Amino acid sequence: MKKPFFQNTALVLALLTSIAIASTEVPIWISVFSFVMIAWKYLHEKFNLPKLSKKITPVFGVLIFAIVYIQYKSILGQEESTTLLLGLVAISILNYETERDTLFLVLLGFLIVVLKAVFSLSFIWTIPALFSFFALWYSLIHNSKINRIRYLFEITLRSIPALIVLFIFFPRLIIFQTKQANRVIVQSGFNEELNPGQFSEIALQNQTVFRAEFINTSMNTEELYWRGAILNISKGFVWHKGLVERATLNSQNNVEGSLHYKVILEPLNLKNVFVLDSPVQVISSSSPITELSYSTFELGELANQQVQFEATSSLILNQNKINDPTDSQKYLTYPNLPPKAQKLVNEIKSKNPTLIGRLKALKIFYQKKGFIYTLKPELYGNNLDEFLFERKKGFCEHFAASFGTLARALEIPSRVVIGYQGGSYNALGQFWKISQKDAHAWVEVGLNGRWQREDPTALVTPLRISLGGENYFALSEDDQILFSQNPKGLQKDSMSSVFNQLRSFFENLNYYWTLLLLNYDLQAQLEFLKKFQGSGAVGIFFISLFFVFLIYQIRKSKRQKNISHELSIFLSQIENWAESKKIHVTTQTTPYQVFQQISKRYPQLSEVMNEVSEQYDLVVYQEKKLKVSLKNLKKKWKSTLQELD
Amino acid sequence: MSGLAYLKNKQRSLGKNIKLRSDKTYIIPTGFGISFAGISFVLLVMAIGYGNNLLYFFVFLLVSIALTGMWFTNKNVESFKILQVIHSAVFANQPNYLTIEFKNKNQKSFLWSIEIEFDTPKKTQVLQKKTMIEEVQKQSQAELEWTPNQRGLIEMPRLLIQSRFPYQMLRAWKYDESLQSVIVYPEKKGVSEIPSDQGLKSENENQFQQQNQGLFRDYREFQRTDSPSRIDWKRSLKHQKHLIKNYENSGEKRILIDWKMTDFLKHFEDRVSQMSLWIDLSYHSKDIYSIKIKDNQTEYMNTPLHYKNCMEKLALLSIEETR
Repeated sequence: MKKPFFQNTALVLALLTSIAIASTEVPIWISVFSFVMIAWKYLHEKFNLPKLSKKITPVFGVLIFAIVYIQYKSILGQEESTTLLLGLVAISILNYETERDTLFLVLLGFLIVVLKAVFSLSFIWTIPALFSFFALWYSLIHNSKINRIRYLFEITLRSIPALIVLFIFFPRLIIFQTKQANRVIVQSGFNEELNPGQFSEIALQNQTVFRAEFINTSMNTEELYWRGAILNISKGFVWHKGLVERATLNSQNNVEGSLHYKVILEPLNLKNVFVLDSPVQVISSSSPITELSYSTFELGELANQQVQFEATSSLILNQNKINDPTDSQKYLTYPNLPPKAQKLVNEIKSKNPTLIGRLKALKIFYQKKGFIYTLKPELYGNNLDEFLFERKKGFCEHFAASFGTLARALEIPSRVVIGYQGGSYNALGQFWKISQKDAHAWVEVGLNGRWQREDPTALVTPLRISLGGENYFALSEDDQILFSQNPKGLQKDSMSSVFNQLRSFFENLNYYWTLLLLNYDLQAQLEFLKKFQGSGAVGIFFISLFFVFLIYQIRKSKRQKNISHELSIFLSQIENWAESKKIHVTTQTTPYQVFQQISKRYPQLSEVMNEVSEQYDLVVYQEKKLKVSLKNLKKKWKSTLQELD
Repeated sequence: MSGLAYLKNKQRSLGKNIKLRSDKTYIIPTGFGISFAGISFVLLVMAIGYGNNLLYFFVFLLVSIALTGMWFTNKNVESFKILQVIHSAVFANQPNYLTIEFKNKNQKSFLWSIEIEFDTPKKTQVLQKKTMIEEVQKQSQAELEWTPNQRGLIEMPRLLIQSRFPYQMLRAWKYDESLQSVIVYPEKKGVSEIPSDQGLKSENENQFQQQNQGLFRDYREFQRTDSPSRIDWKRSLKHQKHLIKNYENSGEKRILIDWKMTDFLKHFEDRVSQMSLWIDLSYHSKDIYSIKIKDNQTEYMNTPLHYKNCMEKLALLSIEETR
């Protein structure tokens, strides 16, 4: 029987939502195609727009297939298959005619919704995905009289124990590993090179880079310098990454004053692992992490899935030793300075014979010479003089690059560190969210055989450091300038808004959702089971399971020996006897009529017949237990028959 | 032979040797259910491959809701109990109705979308329409339309009670065998006019009829079941329509339906159907009637039991009994 597609509102909503969710992962043309096809169907059903011929729709299918193949050179990847799936859904909607098509569309809908999880683990996506998921289930329930929402809720509620058991106990064995296809576009703005440009694009992106949670420690924004990579080749205003070697870290877990924290990196196709100063231990159970020189770390492969690791840093111990004194020479190389910069270096050098004195003078220069922090300075090229003495406008990259080069010129070993600074603290979930807006560059200088952090941006605008990038860039430009030296009052205001609290709430949900999902690998599963084993819960679980099985078997065998079944056998015996006595019993004769006819013909049997009738009524119609035992009833029947004979 | 056709054949040949018990509820996945299981399996393989816990979550949510749905489907049928199957006079080749009284054993929740039909209708020569019961609260009844295509004592197929509710993924079913056999009356077919029985009645019978006409009451229009001999021609000419006299005890008009009256028909079954029609007309016109087949004649009566006996006699009539 033909049925309009748009009559099934639940199915329409479910498919629209799932297509919208998937659209963020596929090329725009397929999303547009899908929505155009749905619009066409709508216009056809509501306004009699001509129906597209069924001969055309396979052509669409072939075209989509061809375009996908040309675009990706494959059809098996995540994006490719999702694109094809969307095309199939759109064509199926266009060809929708009967209830049978609903079932096919529901299956496709389930596929799209679930496949979204391959692209993103975010809790935010899970909400529309779950909506679509339940709307699909809802559209399967066909009954005009039922309250479908309530019924679906009841089923879902009863499904939760099975869901929990399956999720907890299904072994997370890594039988085979499917490689996720690398995205064509690298989503992070994090670069392993410092080339201060005209405009900081990174700092305008909202994307979350990672989340961090400190264990038993509270931290301030200004303490959080997340090191990503070290640049040690100075070209003046431009810095490059030098040769990076593998290194072995002296893993010390419980050093005094150590900070323990866990980090979840978002899948941004980066290899960098971001840790605080002086890391002493970095561990990940899900992805191998390589230790590199300069106390930096790298993932085995580009992070296209979320990666969780735990790290320990020792701020007190300051592990960043300059390992080899000859090594310090490579941190002193710098190109020829332009005249004004060279003059400044010479002045400082002449006034400060010691390295510490020179460093102090350099810091004063950045603090006092009227530098302005802005994300939109004009292009400098590689001209230090123009930046330092003329325009004096820039952001962290300008300050770090110039500071590092000047420090080297002042014979202070230095290197530029790129990573993230600060983050926004989620008081609800007690974790830090670090976004692209927190991208930062600073300098490490080698003094007294150790590396120490120096951040020229903090000298120019302490507000950026105390607020963190995200909160700082949320301020108006006027506020940024006005409160650059006095950030305290502003911090409270910005964080107390309802919007921020709401955002904080959702971020918290998302964080724990991700944490819960990521954490539960084979190792976590085994640990969980061990805990239960220790408390004897596993034993109790299996014993309970055994008893449930036993009870089920007993009930089953009891049911087989169902008393009503025995009664019906007894009834057929009585009927056979009645027929032998030529009492007319047909298939339409009710048991009650049989009993009555027997009683009428043989009054001696009326008592036992009444009793049988009463018991039969009890068991068959009232579904109650027998008041007398069936055995006795049969005995009575037989003995009365014998008396009759 | 395609693979699917081969599988279906194989399934049928296996099924021939299996007799499912009527005291059990059975459940198997539908085509949609199998496709769903296939997709769930593919997604599970993906979850394992990617080591993706969100994929695991969705797959397990799909599976657990489907499993709970399975339990609901089974319970829906399991809790449905047929109390009684009642049928009135059943005629061949015309829609008949079985009244099915049923109840919900599980008083705590309703039962939904239960279908009732006959099992294996092809074998038993029964045409039928499925009956869909949308909602069962406690106790109710429904009608099942069916059309037997032959008269006689027929072995009734089992009643099949089934449901795909809620998700169409699984079909749960059970049987009811409370109705085992039914006497199907012959089809009511032929000419409506009952031929005059004057020549066929004995003299005594004719006298009895004339003497028992009683006092004249009024005129009424001629009906097809009336004997043309009763037409009052004078009156009819005057009023330009066929009129017959009504007497005080005209309800006791006696009609003999003799097998010989059907001589004008060639086929045996047509003759049986013709008699069936006349019996039915006589019964409903409240005339007393008797049927005569060869030397066997029933009494003149018009009671439900007499009707039943006459119809049953015709239903079970064999060609030998008419020679």
